[in-house]
Amino acid sequence: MEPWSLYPKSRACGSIHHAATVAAIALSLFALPEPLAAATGAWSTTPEAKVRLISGWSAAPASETDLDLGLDFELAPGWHVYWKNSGDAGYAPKLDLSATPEVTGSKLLFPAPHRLDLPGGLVSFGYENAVVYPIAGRWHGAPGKALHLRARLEYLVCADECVPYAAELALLLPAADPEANAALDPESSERLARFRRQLPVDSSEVAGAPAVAVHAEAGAPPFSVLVLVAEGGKFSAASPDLFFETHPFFALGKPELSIGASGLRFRVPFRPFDETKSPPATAEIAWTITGLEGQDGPYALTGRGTIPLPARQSSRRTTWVAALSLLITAAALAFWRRRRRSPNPHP
Amino acid sequence: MKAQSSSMSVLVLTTLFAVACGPAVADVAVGTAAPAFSLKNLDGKTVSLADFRGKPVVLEWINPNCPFSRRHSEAKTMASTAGKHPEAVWLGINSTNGGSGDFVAPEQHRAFNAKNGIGYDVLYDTSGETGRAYGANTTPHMIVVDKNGMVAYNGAIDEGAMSGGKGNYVDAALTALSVGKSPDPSTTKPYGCSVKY
Repeated sequence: MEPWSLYPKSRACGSIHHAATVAAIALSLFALPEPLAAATGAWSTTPEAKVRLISGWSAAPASETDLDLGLDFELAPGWHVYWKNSGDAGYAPKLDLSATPEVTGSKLLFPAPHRLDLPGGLVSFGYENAVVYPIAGRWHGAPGKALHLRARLEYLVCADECVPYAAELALLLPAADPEANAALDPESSERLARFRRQLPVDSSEVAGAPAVAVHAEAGAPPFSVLVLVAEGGKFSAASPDLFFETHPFFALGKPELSIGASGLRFRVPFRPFDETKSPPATAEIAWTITGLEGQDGPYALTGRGTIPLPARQSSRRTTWVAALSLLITAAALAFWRRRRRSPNPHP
Repeated sequence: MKAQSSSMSVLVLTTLFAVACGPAVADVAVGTAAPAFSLKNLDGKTVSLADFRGKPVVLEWINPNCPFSRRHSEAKTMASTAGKHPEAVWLGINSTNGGSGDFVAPEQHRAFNAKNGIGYDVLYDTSGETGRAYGANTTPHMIVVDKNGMVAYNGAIDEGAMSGGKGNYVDAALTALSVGKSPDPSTTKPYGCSVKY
C-alpha cells in the first residue's frame, strides 16, 4: 500500500459486471439455466482479508420482506476486524447500501465479540479468522424484480499493524420464480444462520438464561463502579466476558469477574471523560455478556438500560475523609487502651 | 476486644489502600493535570512539558509506519493546524517500542518529517511511559493541554477516518482556548493504528 492514497482500492472489487461475466462464463461452460453462485457476490480480496456479500436467498423474493443478507469476511491468520465498539483502537466496518433504493433501513448486526489483546496492554474487540455480519433491513420486492445490490464498504483490518480499505461490493439475485416458494441457498443460508446464532440476544429469548441486573456504586475517586449481576436460570459459563457499547460520557475500565454459586458478578470501574463537566444523574448502559452456555449451546446476552449514578466525591474530599477516619480510629484506640489501663473506680 | 482492634486496623488499611490505588482506566480525563514528561527529541535534546507552561500544548502520537499517521502527515493535517495556531506548541510523541518493527530511527524520522513539512519537535518515548500516562491508544491520538497545564481536549484529530479531514477537533479546541472558552467537544474517540508499545 504505497503511498497511502485515501483508501487503497482492493484489487478485485466485485461488481455486477464481474458477477455477470462469471455467470456468463459458467453458462457457456456448463449451459446451466441459472447463474451460478448467485447467493454470493464476488470476493473483494486484499492480502489481509477477503470480503463479499452473501444472501440466504437464491432468488429475490417477490414481495416486501426482511433482508436475508450478510457481509462475509475471511481473514488472513492474525488479522482482525471489529465489533461495534472497537475497543482501544480501530473501528467497525461501515456499509452503505444507499445505491440500492429497493433496500431500506439497512444496518450491520454484530455477532458476539472477542477480546483481542494487543501489545502494551491495549485491547480490541472484534473477530479473527472469519465473521459474517448479518445485515438487517427491508427488501421492497415485487414480482419479476431482481435484486441488484450495490454496496460501498469501508473497513479497517488490523494485526499489529492496521490497513484501512474501501471496497465496492455487489450481489445479483434473479427475480424469484412466481410459481415456486421462496428459494434458499443452502450453503449461504447455513453460513448466515451460523453467525446469526452468535448475535447477542435478550435474556427472555434463551431458555435458562440468567436475569441480569445493573447498578452503579461509588468507588475510590475519581472512579465509580458498575456492577452487573447475572443470576438465576440454568446456565454454565466457561469463559464469560463483558463488553459495553462506547459511552459518550464515561471511560470504562476492564471488567473484574467473580463467579459465585448463584451466578456471575462483574465490577467495572468507570469515570467521566471530562472532569470539568458535571456528570449526568443517570447513564444509559448497553452491555453484552459473552461465553454463556445453555442447553442449546453457547450464547451471548445483551441489554440496555438507564441507571442512576452515585453522587461523586472529589478526590480531595475523600482524602480528607480518609485522614479524618484515620484520626478518629487512632483516637478511639488510644482512648480504649487508656481505659483498660486505668483502674475501674466503681468495681 | 483484641479482635475488635485488629478488625479496626484492617478497616484503616483498607481505606488507605482504596485511596492510594484506583483501578486502571486508560485515558487522562479532561480537567485533570497533564502528566509531566521529559523526553528526548530526534536530536537527543531533552524537551519537557513544563518548558511550555503559559502556552497551550498539543501532543500528537505519531508513527510514520502507521497508515493513519502517514496519511495525516502527507495531507499536512497536523502541520497546517499547527501553522494556524502560532500561540500553541505542537509536539509529536512517538511511543513505538524500540524493538517493534514499526520503530523509526532518528535519521529516517527526520527524513519523514522533512518530506511532510513537519517542523515541530518529535519526541521519543520508547519506554511507552508517557504514552501510558496519557492513555494514548492510537496513532494519531491527540491531547491538548491548556496554558495552565490542564488537559483540555482528548481524542481524535478530526471527525474520523471516513471524514476526509473534516471537522478538525484540535483546530476547534485551540480556537476555543484562544478566546478563553472550553473546547466542545472536549473528548472524542481517537482512531488509527494501535500504539506499538
